[in-house]
Amino acid sequence: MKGNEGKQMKVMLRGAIPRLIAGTAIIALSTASLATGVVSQAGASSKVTISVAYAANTTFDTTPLGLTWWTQVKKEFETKYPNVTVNLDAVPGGEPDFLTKLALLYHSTSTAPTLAQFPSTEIALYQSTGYLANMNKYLTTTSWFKSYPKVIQNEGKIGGKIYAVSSGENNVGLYYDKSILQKAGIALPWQPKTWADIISAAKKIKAAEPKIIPLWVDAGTSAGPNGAGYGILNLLAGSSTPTIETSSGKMVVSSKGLTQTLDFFHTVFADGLGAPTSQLFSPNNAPNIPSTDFFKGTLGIAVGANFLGGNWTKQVSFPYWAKASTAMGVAGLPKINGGGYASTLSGWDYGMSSTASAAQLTAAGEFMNVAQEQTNLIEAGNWAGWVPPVQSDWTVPLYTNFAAPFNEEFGKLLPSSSELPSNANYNVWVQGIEEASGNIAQKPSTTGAQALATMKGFVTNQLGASAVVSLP
Amino acid sequence: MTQNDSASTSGVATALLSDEPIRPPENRQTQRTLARRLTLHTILAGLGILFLAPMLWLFLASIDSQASWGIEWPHFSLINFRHVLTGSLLHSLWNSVVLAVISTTIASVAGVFAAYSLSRRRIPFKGPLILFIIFSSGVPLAIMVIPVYEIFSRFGFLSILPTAVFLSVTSLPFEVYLMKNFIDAVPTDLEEAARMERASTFQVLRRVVIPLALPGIAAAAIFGFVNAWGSFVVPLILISPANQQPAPIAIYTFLTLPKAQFGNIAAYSLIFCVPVFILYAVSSRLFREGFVLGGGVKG
Amino acid sequence: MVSSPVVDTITGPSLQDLWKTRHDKTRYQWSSLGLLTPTFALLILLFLVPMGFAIYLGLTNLTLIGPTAVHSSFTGTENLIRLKGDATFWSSLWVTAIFIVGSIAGVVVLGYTLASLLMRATPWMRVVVGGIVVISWMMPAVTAGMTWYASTTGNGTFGTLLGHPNANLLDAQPLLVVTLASIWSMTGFSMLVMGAALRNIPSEAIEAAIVENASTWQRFRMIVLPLLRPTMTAIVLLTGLLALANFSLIYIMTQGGPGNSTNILPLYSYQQAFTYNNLAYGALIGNVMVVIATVFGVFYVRITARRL
Repeated sequence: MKGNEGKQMKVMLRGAIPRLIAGTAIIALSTASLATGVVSQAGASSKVTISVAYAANTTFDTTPLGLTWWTQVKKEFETKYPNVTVNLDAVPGGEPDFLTKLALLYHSTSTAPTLAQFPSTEIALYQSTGYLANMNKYLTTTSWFKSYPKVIQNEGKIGGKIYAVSSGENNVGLYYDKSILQKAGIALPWQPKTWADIISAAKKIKAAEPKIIPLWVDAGTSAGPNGAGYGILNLLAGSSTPTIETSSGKMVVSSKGLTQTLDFFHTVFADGLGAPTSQLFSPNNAPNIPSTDFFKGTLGIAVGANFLGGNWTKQVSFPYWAKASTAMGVAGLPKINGGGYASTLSGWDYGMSSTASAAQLTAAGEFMNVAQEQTNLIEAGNWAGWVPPVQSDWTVPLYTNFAAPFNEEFGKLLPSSSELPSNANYNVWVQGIEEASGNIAQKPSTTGAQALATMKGFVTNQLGASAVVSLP
Repeated sequence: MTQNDSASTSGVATALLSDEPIRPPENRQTQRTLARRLTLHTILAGLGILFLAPMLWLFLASIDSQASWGIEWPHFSLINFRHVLTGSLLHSLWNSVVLAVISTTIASVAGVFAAYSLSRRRIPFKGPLILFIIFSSGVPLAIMVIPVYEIFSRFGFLSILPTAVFLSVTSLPFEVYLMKNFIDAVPTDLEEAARMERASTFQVLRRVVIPLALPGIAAAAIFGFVNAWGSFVVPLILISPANQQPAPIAIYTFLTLPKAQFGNIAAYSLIFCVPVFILYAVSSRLFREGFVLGGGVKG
Repeated sequence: MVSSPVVDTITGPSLQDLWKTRHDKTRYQWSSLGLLTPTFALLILLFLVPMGFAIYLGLTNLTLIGPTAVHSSFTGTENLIRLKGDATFWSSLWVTAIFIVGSIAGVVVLGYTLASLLMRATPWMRVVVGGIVVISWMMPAVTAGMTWYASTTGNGTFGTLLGHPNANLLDAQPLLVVTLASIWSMTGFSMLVMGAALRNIPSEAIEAAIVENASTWQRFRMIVLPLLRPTMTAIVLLTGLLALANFSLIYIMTQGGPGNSTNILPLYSYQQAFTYNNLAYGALIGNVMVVIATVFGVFYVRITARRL
């Protein structure tokens, strides 16, 4: 990565001594940069190296599947473009640690990855730091980007420029165990129309089978910022005031919607309808626990993300449940008083480093094209538990047959989902709401109002009164 | 009386598994004493069990082919050990070795020089220097990591070797303190004799001081090694490349995976603890044999 | 000529000893500074400089990502004002205090108990129990945290032992469990050092007390305690500093949660710096920790200076 250093010295160094070093280095390296630049414009016949950073353990359903996919894409790409070397950097750790590590990688020019894959909630953050390159010119000739639904295209669009493109999306719905609901006297196929319907179904399950967890909704902070995205934020999305961030950039710390959501949580846990905290607070990626519980027959209903369906396939085996397709049903998560479904939309996106050379960016663009080819894209979706961003893929057999019928169902539900915000204060806000939900789960006597007050106090205290707002 | 001799030589050294218990005088062996001894041993056994309890899971899960977080009768199998002694996990153990060895070497060498200097020579500001050393032993690592990260990132030092140097600094003050205490206990007679024979400082160090203060130096080096071996937050932040991460990071990574293989984690952690246990065994032998400091001087 | 003064090798000479003049050597030896160079070079470059930088950093607005990650500026007292009004910080301070005091109390009491009991036990008992306690001390924090997590959550060892296999003790009393884990991991060292100190108590003194019909408690208070005081002070200081710096153990077990119940200062500093991306504010919280550590150190020096 020699070329970029010349350009980015001023970003990297600020002290007096480093400046001296920088001065001499700039002269040496910018000549090298000119050289590479000229040759690569002449037709990419010189050697280019790009680094690609991705989450080793937490994007794909299993670490080996992730390794398989990335290795296969890298091989395909390097065969097509033999002058480019791809260095895969598999960043280990759970999601919060991956995010920390990625931020650390970006922080230093020598380690910033040319191409990285990260959650959509981080896009605005990285862009405002200046880490991301404008990708507009690399997308003009691609067919796959054009076939994204507008809402997914806009995921990475800031100020008219595209800084990130989706490689897969997550949305949320309701999973239910058909036999358990049948025993509880609930009509199948089950499609609740309001939140009250969900509660009443959960209560029926509890009455019929007291040892089973009636309803799983994520609570607490152990799953990191995404945990809320698979749990409480979906209810908020279906409440009267789904707003998390106003157009002026202020975080909402009190609203009718927040009250409704936290009250719902209070009802769930006060009536003993929720999962135990030993599961909810587990450090082993709590959002995936429902697939084990369903398999064991100890869970009735779950508010779960689309990737749960993939967990029961042979490739993922978490756990392998051949009968899942007939034993389980999928329903949309209704809005509070009916009138449709609601869900959060968040994805994993590719972003390019602003400190990479033009040759590297071009190579990275080509890498993305290979990664987004239909087969690769759908396989990524299957193995990482995403809905592919290309709408026509939702009916392709490779996708629908993988985790039937779950993949197909969640593809259908995707249009009713809405994007999560992405700004610097979001991390604190989401910590606040996760703590609020965790408090209720741990101490069910906590009312929605109490939990909201704690959340409001915490977020206001951390972000300052001018960054928050209360909606009626 | 042998009992008092062993009791009056160096302190910490002899405490480690010395073989002479202090018994009450013979003529007081009454029933009451016997009951007392029984209570004593019961309490000790109880405490021993309490201390052993947390480790139980570690042992059981490592030999269990279907381990979970809970404690259960294991399905006996050594497959976990076979699983973890491969590929990237083995490499992480190697990274830990590199990190700890380099860190300990730097700290011990620099430490011996400094400890000797502070112990023997008349240096200006000796008192405040000692104070500084005690103080810096106590500064918590979690706060040092942030500015060091900033500095290292600007110079591109976010890899294993500079991190090892930083780790040596974190254990240096306490090592100097420990070594200095042991060097203080070495009588100066031998040194003076050596100097009269025109020995240079290095020779004095090599032939007189270090051999006699070896238990203390070894203790300090072991402290430094264990410190670096178990270091978690420093490599977490300061080592960027994933293939240079040491074992604690690997363990933590596996813990948070959705499909955590508890048996593997337990087996790996046990293997990770082994060098530490070996060092303890070695050091206790060192102390038992090496505490005869006064033997180098006549009388 | 008498050789070096009788020293207590456990805790080092008192400060009076340090400043005592030696009549055989009256010159300063500046050449000795050469020996000190490697240590002090390392300490200055990788300790003092970062510390100074940390103090400066705490007063800026540097973030990990975001607009001020690359171009940050000095913000003066802004962070300090924020610290004053930060409710989480004050609660974290309180939790840290409880954690430190609890750890010290447990380590001192257990360490002394084990040391004194083991002294009078059979060799077999000493090897087994002593060995177990020392092993628990030598276990790396990551492993210790993990085993304690497994032992105190659902189906864990402690729950099963107490008859409630499904009990989640860690969730029920997080601070208590975490403090117990901390005590467990530090008692070994305390036991060893106290054991050494106890051996240095002349047995004649104990025998004389027994002849005078002094009770166990009187023996303890009049003979053991005063003689053990320097050792105990050292252990209190060390344990306090180690508990203050504790990161990995608690991070593995609870990540500071649930809520903020185990969010001691090092964890909160990490959370601010790397989860909320406020590097500067995290550094400021770290500086607070340094102040606390300094206070500890000053107390220790005062107390050992007063020692007879």
